[in-house]
Amino acid sequence: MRVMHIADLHLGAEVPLGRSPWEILRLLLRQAANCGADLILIAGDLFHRQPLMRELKEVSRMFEQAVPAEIVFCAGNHDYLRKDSCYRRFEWPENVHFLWKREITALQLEHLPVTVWGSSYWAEQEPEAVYRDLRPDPASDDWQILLAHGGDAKHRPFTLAELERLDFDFAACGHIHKPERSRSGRAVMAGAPQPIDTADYGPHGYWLADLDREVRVEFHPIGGLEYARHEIKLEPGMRRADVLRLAELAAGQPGSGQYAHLVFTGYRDWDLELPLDEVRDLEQVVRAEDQSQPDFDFDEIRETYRGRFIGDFLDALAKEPDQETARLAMRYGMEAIRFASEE
Amino acid sequence: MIIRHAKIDNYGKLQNREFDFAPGINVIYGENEAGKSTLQSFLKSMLFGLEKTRRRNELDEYSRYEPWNVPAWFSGELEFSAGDQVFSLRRNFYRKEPDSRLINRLDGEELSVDQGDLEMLLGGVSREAYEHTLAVSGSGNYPGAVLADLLRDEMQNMARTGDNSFRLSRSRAYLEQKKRELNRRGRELQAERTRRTERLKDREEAIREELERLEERRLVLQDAQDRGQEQLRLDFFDEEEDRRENDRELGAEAGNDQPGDGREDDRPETGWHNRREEDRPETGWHNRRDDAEDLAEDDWYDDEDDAEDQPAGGRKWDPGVIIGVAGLLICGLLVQMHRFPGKAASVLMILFGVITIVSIVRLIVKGHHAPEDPEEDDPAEEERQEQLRAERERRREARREAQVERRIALAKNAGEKEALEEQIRERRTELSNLAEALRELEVRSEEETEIARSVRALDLAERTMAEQAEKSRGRMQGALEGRTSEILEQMTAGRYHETKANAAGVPVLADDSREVTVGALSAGTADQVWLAWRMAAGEILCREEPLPFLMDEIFSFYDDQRMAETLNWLAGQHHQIFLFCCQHREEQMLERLGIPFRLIRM
Repeated sequence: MRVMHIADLHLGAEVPLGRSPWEILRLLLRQAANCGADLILIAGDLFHRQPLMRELKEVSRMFEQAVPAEIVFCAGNHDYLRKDSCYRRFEWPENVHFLWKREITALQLEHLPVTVWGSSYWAEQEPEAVYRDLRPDPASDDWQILLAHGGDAKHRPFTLAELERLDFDFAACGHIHKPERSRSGRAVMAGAPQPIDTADYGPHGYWLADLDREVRVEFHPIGGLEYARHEIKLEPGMRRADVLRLAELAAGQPGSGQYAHLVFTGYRDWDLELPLDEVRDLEQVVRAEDQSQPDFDFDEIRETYRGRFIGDFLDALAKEPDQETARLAMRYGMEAIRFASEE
Repeated sequence: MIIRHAKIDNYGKLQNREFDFAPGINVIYGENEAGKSTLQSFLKSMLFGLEKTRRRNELDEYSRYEPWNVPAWFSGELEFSAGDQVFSLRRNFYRKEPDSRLINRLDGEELSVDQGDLEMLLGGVSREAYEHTLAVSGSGNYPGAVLADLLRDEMQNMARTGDNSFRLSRSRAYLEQKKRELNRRGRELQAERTRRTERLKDREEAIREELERLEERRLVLQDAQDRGQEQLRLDFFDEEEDRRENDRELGAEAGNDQPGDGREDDRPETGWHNRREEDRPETGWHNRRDDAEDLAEDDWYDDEDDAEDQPAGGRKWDPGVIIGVAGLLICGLLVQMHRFPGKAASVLMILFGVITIVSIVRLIVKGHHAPEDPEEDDPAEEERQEQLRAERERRREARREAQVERRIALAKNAGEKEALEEQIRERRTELSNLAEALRELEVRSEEETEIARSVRALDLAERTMAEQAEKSRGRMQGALEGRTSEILEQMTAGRYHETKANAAGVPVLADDSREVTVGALSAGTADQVWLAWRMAAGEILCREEPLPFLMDEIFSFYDDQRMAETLNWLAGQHHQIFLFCCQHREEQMLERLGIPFRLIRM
């Protein structure tokens, strides 16, 4: 039996780059049809916020068109079942099964030899580890599948390794946007099919699981948008032109769908002004941070200029209560003094 | 630095003159117009250069000493020692072809004046600084704003490490520039957030307006529904009326039938006291419509027909008859059985007989007042009754039709209201989602937070720099004051021992009894104070290399005692001293004091 496992669609979210979540869902459903998926699991956060009735109707129609595939999903911490949630009043088509209850229930599907265990979020945060002591029914012939949403401290904490140890044939998880699989592949964090946030680094996509005598799991990346974090180490002697060239190299080709978050580290010449504005203007750069230090040795300087203005200046800053800001101030001060010394 | 020898080729009124100077005190005596000022100017020009400047009203130094005969021949030579080196300096001041040569006499090395070698030997002192400190000319010539500026600059010139110096103002300018850039970026980011917020707020506004409209419509529907319910209630009473009317028409047989009997259960489900909003089933509103259709074929409707079909019967028996007959029978029995005394039995039997007769009579009478009456009426009356009945029937029919229509309208109204509720709920969810999105936008992004921190750090750096500069200035100010006090104390042998600068930067003298500003002192004392001040300032500004004191007629207002004090103090200094005088007073005093000096006559 072939299962498509996805989660964290976040329909309704604004994505500055890439395709809209609706497009992604359409794409995924089309793909499910193409590869003959019998069952589609959506492990929560289908919507980014409380769903509207018209949105549910739209999704419902899309799901209906996926027949004969069966679809099982639950609500996550973003689209949790609030008291006035439209989820409560909505009737889904025959092939769609919504695990809406707060407690974990086992849903035995009619047309497939599958029992899906899961529940929905009824609050924004659910810090209880509800999956810890869960066990499937040993007597059943069905495939026992767990549909879980969570995995961090405030949201039903668990690790993929823990879930692997429960006796489910497959644990389909959602909530963490980064796709991940357990060692055996029997527990999978689907990840968002497309990065939602610029901090969602790496490839994103969907998972196909083939349940047979054994469970085989495969990740299928969806291209078109990928964020990556690059550290660019500076050295004394580098000038603006060098920095810009390094930034361009790291940023990737326009049109590739690859976007970079650049972080400058290392030591640079004190008189080098990082061209952050120009770096940010590069097409493939979504974020640029300066964590580099000017090439000063503060302790040496303090010693050299003890009793003189620079020494006094650094000493005065060393006494400041907010040391984080003070260190930055020392850096700026030294840059300024060095700058003013050059006549 | 010690000037050993000066050779003037052509400078002002001096031509081809040579002078040998002593390392200590040199008294240069000359009458007025002998060329003392010229020599002074020459010495300074040799050391610091001479440039033609543009001055509006007075003659600049260049023009003043420019030879009128051969302008190109405007030169001289100096020989001086600095440290343990001896140098030879030749300069031509002709502005069109200025020239200079500086040679180290000991090793022959040629240095460059243009590249600042001479300046370095002089300890980097500017002509201005020199003229306001160690080169004192005239009396009553008090240092003012220029010296104050020089001192302030020097105080800021604090990280001197040989030839490295920096200006505080330039540092601050750098920090300000950085801050401006960061703030600009911060504002950009904030503007972006504001833009997005505005967009969302616009949507929020639009949805709120729609919500208002929907809610207004709901009120209207609610109103209509309330009125409809009210009307239903009235309809119900009308039904009751109709029923009673019917009963009356059908006569006294309307005995046991209770109008409205069993009607309770048949009351329609949309009755005003039954239904409440919350009780509606959680299924789609489309179910409601079915109910509406059901209502058209209502039960109670049919009940009324039943009511008409019921026979309007009355009672056919009377309890009195039974009692009477029963009594008669019992009495008879008792008499037969000889149990009852004859007389009493007769009385009883008569009683019971009477009761029986009366009851029968009553029955007969009632029967007479039955609907048999109408049958006895004449045909005209009957017809009229018939017409009335028909009339009432028509009215009832019309009322019933209207009621059905109202029921249907009410159901439709309820349906529309349900749909409206759904839309209102939808809008409300949208609003709550928007509110969430707006809340998220209120939070500063990471970058903005970092910018805020950097700006704080820049402020801290600037503030700390200014504080330190102020402290240093204070220290230096203190040093200047302290040194002046020392010098003055030395000069006056302890008579005045404290000098401060007041808020205006004017030295204030303090002796044991009072504080006096310089202006209030006698000229001689004032001159002395200013001299001390200048000497102290000179120590600060010319600290790298001890330059010669150039003193021109400074003792004019000094009394003998003061002059003696000052000469003694000067004698104790390690600097070369040039005393330009037009009187013999200084010479004589020096001799009297036993201070060695060289006399040079112009």
